[in-house]
Amino acid sequence: MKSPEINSLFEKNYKKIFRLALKMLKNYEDAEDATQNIMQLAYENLDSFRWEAKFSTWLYRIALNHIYSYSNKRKKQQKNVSKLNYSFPDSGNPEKRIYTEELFKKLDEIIEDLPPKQKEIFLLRYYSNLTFKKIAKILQKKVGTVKSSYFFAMKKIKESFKKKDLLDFEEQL
Amino acid sequence: MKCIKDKELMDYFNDELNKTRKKEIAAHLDGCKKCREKFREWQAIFSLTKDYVEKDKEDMQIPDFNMSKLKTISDETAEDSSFSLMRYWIKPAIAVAAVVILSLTFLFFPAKKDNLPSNDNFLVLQDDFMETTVTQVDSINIAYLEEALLQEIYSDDELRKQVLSGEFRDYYDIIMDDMRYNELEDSDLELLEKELNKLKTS
Ligand SMILES: [Zn+2]
Repeated sequence: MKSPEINSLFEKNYKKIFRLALKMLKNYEDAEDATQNIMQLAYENLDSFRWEAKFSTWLYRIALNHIYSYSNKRKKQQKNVSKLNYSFPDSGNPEKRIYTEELFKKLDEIIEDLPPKQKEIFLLRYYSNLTFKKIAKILQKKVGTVKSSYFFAMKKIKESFKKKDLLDFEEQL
Repeated sequence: MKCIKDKELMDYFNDELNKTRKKEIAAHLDGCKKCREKFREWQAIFSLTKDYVEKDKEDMQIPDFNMSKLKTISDETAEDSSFSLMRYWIKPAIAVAAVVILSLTFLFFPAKKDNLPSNDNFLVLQDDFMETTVTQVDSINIAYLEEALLQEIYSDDELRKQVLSGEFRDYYDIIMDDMRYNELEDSDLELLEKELNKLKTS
């Protein structure tokens, strides 16, 4: 029914959207469920997609809307969300490994605590590998606004590390 | 040259600066200990973030995606299945959708700054001046409201498309912000109750 070009558009974006869903929902089952719903929604509503806009921009809007709805629904059901765990390979210097592990956990917490808008932009930037321009298009915001939010997110990360005196890790590693 | 602002250092690490500017920055760093310190801090943060994200992505087990997993809607069931998906999708997002519908139907309430408990239902109202207000309602009222709003959305093709194309995103952002700061006054709740009762009886 739909052309192979359409198929490749879906496939090309699947991983990036899955990563986004996983980071926002923090649960594999939910991420898979949500991503599948997003693809299904987009597929069924291709007719309403206006081709003057970029397909991926449209798809990300559906994705973000859906992920937020999903997470709201989950909150209503008061479903528990398990934290994602990081597995670290046992290679190299154990002291360094524990130290890195600690930093990553800390960073994970900071990202988790970012205000929703900043977190969203952070994740779109790092987990979906999007440019500021693209993020601005998706969120229908000015590039400057998106960059400011990103700046505040990074600043928050930096300040949190500074407060804990963890900023000199470059030298310790 | 003046000292380098944090924002510009961030641009530097995001490769958003032109060559000339980068050279100027490098030159300034050579001669300014304070900025060198700042630079080192940002560098540490960006490299940690990059490493973390890389590791995080590596650890993710992403299931394979297959187009054939997507259900094609046959003519017979077309209406039914898109309806149920629509319903599933819009229902949790009701606070977002409510903005537009309610701007036609409801009165608007003044906002008050304070904290809200996070596990309640909220109703978001927006008036013609794009002033947004978040209102707390109990679950029974919200169920009535949802039903009324959903019916309106289902019956309106244009609205459905708007919801899908993400035109409610901006409202959502405002809601997220407002939720933290707004609390309803008793008089607002009374007004809301009145409106909800009107809705129930109509
Ligand atoms: Zn300086």
